[in-house]
Amino acid sequence: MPFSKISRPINMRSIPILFFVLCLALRVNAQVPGYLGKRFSLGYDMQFSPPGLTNFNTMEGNLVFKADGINFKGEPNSLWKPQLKHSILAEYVVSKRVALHTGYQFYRFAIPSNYENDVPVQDSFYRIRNGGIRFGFSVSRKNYFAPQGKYFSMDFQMINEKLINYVNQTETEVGKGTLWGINMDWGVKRILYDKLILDYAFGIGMTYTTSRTFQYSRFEEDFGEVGYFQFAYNLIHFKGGVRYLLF
Amino acid sequence: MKIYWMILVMVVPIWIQAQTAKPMVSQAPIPKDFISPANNRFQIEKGTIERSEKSSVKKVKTDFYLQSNYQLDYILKSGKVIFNEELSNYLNKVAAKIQEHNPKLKGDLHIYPIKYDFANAFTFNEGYIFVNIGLIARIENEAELAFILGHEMAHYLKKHSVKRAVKNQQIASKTNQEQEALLKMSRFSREHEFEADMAGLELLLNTPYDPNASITALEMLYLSDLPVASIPFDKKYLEAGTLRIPSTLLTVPAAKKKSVELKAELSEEEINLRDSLSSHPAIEQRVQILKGKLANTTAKGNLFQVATEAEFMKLRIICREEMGTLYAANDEYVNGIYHNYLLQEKESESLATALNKSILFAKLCIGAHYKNYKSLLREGKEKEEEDMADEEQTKMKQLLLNLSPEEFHLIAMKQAYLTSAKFPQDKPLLEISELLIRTYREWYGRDLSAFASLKEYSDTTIESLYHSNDQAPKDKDSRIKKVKAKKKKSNFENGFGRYALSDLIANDPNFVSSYNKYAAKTIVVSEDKEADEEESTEETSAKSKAVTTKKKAEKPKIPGHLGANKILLMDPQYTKRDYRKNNKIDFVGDEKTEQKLIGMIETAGTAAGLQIELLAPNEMNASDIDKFNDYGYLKSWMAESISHGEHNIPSAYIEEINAIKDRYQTRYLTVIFTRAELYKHGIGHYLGGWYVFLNQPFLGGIILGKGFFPKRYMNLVVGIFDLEENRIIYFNDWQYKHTDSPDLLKSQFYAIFQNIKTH
Repeated sequence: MPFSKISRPINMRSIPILFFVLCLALRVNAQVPGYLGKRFSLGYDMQFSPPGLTNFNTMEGNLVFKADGINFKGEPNSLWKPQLKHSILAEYVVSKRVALHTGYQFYRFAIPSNYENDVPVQDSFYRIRNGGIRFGFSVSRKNYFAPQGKYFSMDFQMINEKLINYVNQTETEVGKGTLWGINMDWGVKRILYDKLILDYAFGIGMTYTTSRTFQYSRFEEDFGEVGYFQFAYNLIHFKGGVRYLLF
Repeated sequence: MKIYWMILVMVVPIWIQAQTAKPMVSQAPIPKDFISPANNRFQIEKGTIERSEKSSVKKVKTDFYLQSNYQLDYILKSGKVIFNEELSNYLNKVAAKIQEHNPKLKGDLHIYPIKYDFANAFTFNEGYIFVNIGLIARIENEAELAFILGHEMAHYLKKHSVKRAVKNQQIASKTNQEQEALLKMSRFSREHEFEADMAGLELLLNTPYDPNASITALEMLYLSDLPVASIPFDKKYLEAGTLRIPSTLLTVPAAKKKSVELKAELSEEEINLRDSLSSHPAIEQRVQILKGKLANTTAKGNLFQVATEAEFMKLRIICREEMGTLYAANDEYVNGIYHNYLLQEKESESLATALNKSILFAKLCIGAHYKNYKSLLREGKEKEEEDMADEEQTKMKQLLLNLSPEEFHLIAMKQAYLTSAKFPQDKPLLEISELLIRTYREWYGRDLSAFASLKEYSDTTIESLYHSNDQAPKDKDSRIKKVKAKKKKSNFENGFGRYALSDLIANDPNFVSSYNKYAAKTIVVSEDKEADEEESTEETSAKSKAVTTKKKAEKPKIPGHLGANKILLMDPQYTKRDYRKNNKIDFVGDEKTEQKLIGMIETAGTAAGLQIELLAPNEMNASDIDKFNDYGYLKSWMAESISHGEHNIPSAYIEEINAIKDRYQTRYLTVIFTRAELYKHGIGHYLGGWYVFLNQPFLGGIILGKGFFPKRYMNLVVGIFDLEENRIIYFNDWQYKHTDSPDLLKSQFYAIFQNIKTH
């Protein structure tokens, strides 16, 4: 077996089913909540984190490394080059102020694999691809009605890592990992034309790596920074999203 | 055959009386300005400002035209203005007579009667003249009306209001002292009044009207704080059958009647004392000047009238009837009760008078149990102190003050019952009668056996009952001491109340069954401390045995579920105040936003499945006269409901409200107000922003950038009235930290409509 079995893998497909069942169970109101009676929305979220937390100390100063698939370039630390996370989300309003959401999120980042004189070498890096289910709830503040207005939300994430070695434009999967994460957001949702939900928020989060396995043990040391990167990636973020109110 | 003639003879007078009591109701078509945005008129008027004028003057005029048009809009859509009706047509005929002889006035003049009970007329720069019902009710002939219209037309012709606005701005900019500025502005205003008097007289002289009416018109204004007439007050007005009030309660008041003789001349000191900050000069001065002018004029002597004497008197009676309703609507109890007494004595007891009287008594009776009822009667107290009170009216008021709440209730109850029996077809009278009987049973819990039998009653017995008959002391302190220490208030056993229903109990089985169908409940003690202190200890201890203290009036709970499929909605109001710009009101913007608000409400209503009947003048057509009148009645009714709080007190417009409920098949009326406020950020915001910026430029930049935009708040107020229970049943306000959010408002409306709809 290429990977050592640490724990029983979690059945991701059960989460949306559970979400759907929970939504049905919570349809206890005689009154119809939601925006003008519309409760279900589908859309896209993007989280971006300030890159300052995920840079490298080198002899030339702090650099942020971005992998675009061809090169692994170092650029000066810039506030305007955030790290991004993408999500496809579905949200369902269950009561006057509470909405449940679930979705799939994905993001990637890279870390250097070779150094020369303490400076990372270009075109040779490790890519970490992440994807997984997220689910959670949001509570609108007093005097606001879900899915509109100021809110607080909490998110639970199950992230699957794929650890990839990128050498000479060739990708090789060298490891896997599983993380749990929790996010808290404070934001505002606005509705345009009675159909589009604009969502913007500020949030904090944290992750915990439950397992990480490698094809070869030598990669364990190279990937030692991944845990730190994951943590920093999810620590602080700003969110912007758009959803469509379906029904 | 003879019997049919007899029936006809009996029925017709009642029918005629009922017909003469027809209230003033506007008729179609609705004039354009009543149902169109004020901005339309403002833009036209703004276009009249000449380019050659100074920029400061242009600005003042623009601001003035803006405010004037929106104030005029408020008046036109208040529901108080009457149009296309007998009285308004009459006013326009008189005005036409003046215009006919004064070509300069030919043009866009609009003259309307307006439902205010005090004597006044006022003009807007836009050519609108409003004449109060209270003024028409007090004039003696058409020539007086012609002078008053001429006076107002003179204001319009000479553009006094806009000139005053420009002058006031000049005074304010040049004078540092506020008091001095106000004095100058007032003086300027008084000069305009003199000018309007002279110009009004000139207009009158060009017509066939008697110019001496100008003097009598001003004399009428001088006495306008007094009732429309004065006749000796007879306590029989409050009595009926065995309900008789001992003469000892009718104390002689100390109030003096205002002198009907105007002083021939005022000294300069008197003028300065009285005028100073007044916008109008002393009437004595005005009369003096007019007399001087008339001395050089050949008297005409002819009494010319557009309408015949009978027609004029009929219109005046209608105005006086309407005043009774207005007094009832405005909770002016003393004025209303005495006024209806006058109508009954001088005219005849028509249906409207009877209804007004019953409503006033019912309201005063019910109000007595929830407030210090003496404060309800205190209206006009200031007039007494200013030596302006009518002696007979004050006598009546003193009598009411000498009664206990239960005695008052008995008077109201018996009066309402007997009037209802007299006009059995009138549902509102029956409702009021039933209400008073039910509340009497609930509050006092007396069985009919507690009342004296008919055999026990005699006039001598009544006259021998309690009460000191001292004259009311002049000063307040000694009066209070007397009340607390010595004045022996009646209780039921020792008072005339015990005999009040004896005749009905003995002879009227209908009354007995009406009374007994209501269950007696524990007696409610008024929370009013002053009333409690005035009660004797004996009375208090007797009550305390069977008394439960009434719970404090609780704030209306959110009803949540009304189970209604349809509501009435008054035109939603929106205002935006920008506190960064001296609290400037953007009238034009507000009006446009109100249109959008209507759209949002309709969207939310449709989504919630709730039928909304919108009553908004700007959304009406010229043929929607019923809706327009309903809108006016509901506005007046709302004002009454708010003043009555949570208590189900009959409205002066009870008949009209019942008709509205039937017409629209709903009992719920909703009002919505939104208010947006913009403020500057404080200095702390910028200091904090800079500190953050130095450490975290990105975050600090966001904070500082926010400083370029104002702090925004939005207040949304929603009230739901129950037309059945005559009170507000839901009131809530929300504040949000941003403004003009259609999605926020729509979701809020949707939630409210959901609440209304579901069971």
